[in-house]
Amino acid sequence: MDIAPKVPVKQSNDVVVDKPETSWSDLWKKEDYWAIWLGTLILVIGLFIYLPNPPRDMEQKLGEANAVMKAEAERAPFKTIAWHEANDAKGKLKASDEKSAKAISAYLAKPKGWTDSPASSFFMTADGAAAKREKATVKYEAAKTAAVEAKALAKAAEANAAKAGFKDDALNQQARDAIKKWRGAHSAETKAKGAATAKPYNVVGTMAVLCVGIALLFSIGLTFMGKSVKEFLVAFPVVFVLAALAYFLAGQANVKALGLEYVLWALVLGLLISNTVGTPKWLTPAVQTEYYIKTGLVLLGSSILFGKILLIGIPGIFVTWVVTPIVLIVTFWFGQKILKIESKTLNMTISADMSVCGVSAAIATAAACRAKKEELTLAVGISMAFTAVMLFAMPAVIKLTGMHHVLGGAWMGGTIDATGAVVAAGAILSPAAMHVAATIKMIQNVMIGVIAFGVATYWCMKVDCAEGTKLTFQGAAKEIWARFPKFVLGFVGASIFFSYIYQSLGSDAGKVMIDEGVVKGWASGLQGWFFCLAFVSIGLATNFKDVAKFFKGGKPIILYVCGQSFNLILTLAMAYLMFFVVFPEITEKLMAQ
Amino acid sequence: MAAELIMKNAEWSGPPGPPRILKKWAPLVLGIMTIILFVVWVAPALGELSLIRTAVTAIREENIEAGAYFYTDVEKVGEAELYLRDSFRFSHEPVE
Repeated sequence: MDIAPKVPVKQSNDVVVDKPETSWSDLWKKEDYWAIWLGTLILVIGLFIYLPNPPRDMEQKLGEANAVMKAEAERAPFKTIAWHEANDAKGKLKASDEKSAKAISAYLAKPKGWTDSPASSFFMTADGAAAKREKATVKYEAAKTAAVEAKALAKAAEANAAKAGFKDDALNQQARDAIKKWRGAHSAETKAKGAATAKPYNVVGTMAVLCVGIALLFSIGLTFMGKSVKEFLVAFPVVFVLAALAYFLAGQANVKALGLEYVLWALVLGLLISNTVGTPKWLTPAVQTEYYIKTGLVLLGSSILFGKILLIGIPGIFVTWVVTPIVLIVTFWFGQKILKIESKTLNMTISADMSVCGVSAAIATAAACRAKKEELTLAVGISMAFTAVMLFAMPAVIKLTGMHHVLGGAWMGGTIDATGAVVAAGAILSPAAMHVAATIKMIQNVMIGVIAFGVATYWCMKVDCAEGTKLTFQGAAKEIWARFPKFVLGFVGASIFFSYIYQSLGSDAGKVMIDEGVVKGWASGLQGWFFCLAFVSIGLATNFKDVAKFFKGGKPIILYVCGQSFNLILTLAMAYLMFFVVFPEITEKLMAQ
Repeated sequence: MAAELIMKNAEWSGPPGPPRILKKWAPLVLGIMTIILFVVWVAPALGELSLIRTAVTAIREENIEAGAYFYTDVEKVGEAELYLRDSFRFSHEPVE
C-alpha cells in the first residue's frame, strides 16, 4: 500500500513535512479514482443485466408464499409442512437463475470443487458426468424415498395435532419432531440430487475469456495512469493462472473442510515464487496489488446492505455493532500503549481483522490506513491460523459445557473471523446454532463499510497529519480531503446505493434481485477474482525477511490473542445478556420449530 | 599460460557447489512438492484426527464453504437469513 500524493515541503524551521496535493487530473490519473470508475462500471452493468429480468411472476410467488406462511403461523403453534414449503419456494427464487443471467455469470466461473480427480476442477466430459450420475443415482433414490416416507409421517402427525385443534401439547410435540425429521431427510435428498444431476462442463474456456476481460478492464485505467499496457497484458495471464491455481487448491474437498481458503493459497503461491526463483521483472507490471484490492472493495460495497442489520432485532445489534467497535478500539489501544507496537497500521489491521470479520476487514482497513503489504500478509496469516483452530475448538467447548445453541451460535458468530468457518462451526452444533451464527456474522460483515470509513478519516485527521500543525477549519478539511483514500468513497457509495435499492424493493424482492442477483451472480464473483489476484500480487512482491521484521517479539500474535480473548469474553457476556436476560422472547422465536 | 593457471589455482577455494540455477529452482520444486503432499496426504490425515473427524465429516456432507471470508460466498447464510426473517415475520402468537 502506498501513501497519498504528497510533496515534501521545507518549512521555515527546517522541518520537512509531507504536504498532500490534489488536482482535477487525479480523476483520471490516480488509481483510487480508477477503482471507483471501474467498480461503478461493473456494478452498473450488473444492474442492467439483473434488474430488468426478475424471475417470472416473482411478486405473485412471493405474495403467495407469504400468505401461506401467515395463515399457517396463525393456525398452528409450530412451523407446519406448508410453512416450510412456502419458505423453500421463496428460497428458490433467484435472479441469478434466469437464463440470460446464467449465461453471463458462466463466464465468472472459477475452478470447481474436487475430491480425487484434479481434472474435475476444470472440466468434466459427458461420459464423466454420466458415470457420476450413475454412481449418485442409487444414493439419491434412497434419499428421495426416505424423504417421501418422512413427509408422510410428518403429514400424519400434523393432521393428528390439527384434529385436536393444536391444543394437545403431546400431539404438537410429536408433529414438531416428525417435521424436524422430514426436514433432515429433505435436506439429504437435496444434497444427493446435486450429484445425481451432474452435467458436463469446461471452465478452462470461460476462464480464458474472463482473463482477457479483466486484463482489458484494468488496462483502461493503466492507459490513463501512464503505465505500459503492453507490458501489463504480457504479464497478466501468469498472475491470473496463479489465481486460478489458488482457487483450484482451495477447492479440494479435504482442504476446503479445514477452512483453508483461496486467499491463503494465493499468498503461498506468490511467496513461493518470489522467495525462490524470484519474481521475474517482466511479471511486475501485472503485480498491481492496490489496483485490484481497491476495485474489489468498491464491488464489495454492493453487498454491504444496511437493511440486514436489524434481522434479529436489538440483540443482534448489541452483539455486533456495540461489542465489535469496543473490541476494536480497546485492542488498538492495547497494541499502542501496552505492547507498544511500532507500526500503527499493523496494529490497526490486526485489530480490525480480529474484531470485525477477518480477511475482508483486514483488506478494507489495510487499504483505508495504507498499511504495508507485509502487514496485511501477517494479519491475514494470523487470522487464518486462528480461524482454523476456532472452527473446531468453539463447537467442542459449547458441546462440552452444554451451552444453549442460540448463545453458542451468537458467540461463534461474533468471534470467529471468517464467515465460512462461522457457518461450519454452527452446522457442527445444530441448525438453530448455524442460523444464529450465520446471521450474527452477516450483520457484522455489514460493519466493514463503517469501519473502513472511520479508520480512513481517523488516519487523515490524527495519524497522517503533521504533529502540532494548527489549521483553520477550511485548511483542516482540505488536508483531510487530500489525504483521504478516495476509493473508500466508492466503497461506501456502492453500499449506500445498493442498500437504498434493496430497501426500495423490500426485503423479499431485494433478496431475490440484489442478494441473489446482482451481488451473488455478478459483483461477488468478480470481487473474489480481484482479491485473489491481489493476494497473488502481494505474495509475488513480498520477501519473507520483510514479513519477519514485523513479527518482532511475536507482538502481532500477542495482540491477536489478547484482543480475541477480550472479544470472546465480551461477546459471550453481551450475547447472554441480550438473548437470555433482556430479550428471552427472541431466543424463544429463534428456537421455535 | 602458466601465469593464468597459477591465477586460477590461487582463486580456487574448495570443491565446486551446486550450480546457481539448481540453488534457485530446488526450493521452488520442493515447495511445490510440499503443497502437493499437503493436499494429497496431510489434509486428509488431519481430517481423520479423532478430535475433529466428526466436524470435518459434517462440513463435507453439508458442502459448506468453510474457508469463505464473506457472507456472500456462503450459500447457507442466504438460507439462514431467509429462514430467520420469515420466522420473525410469520410466527405463531398465542391468544391470551
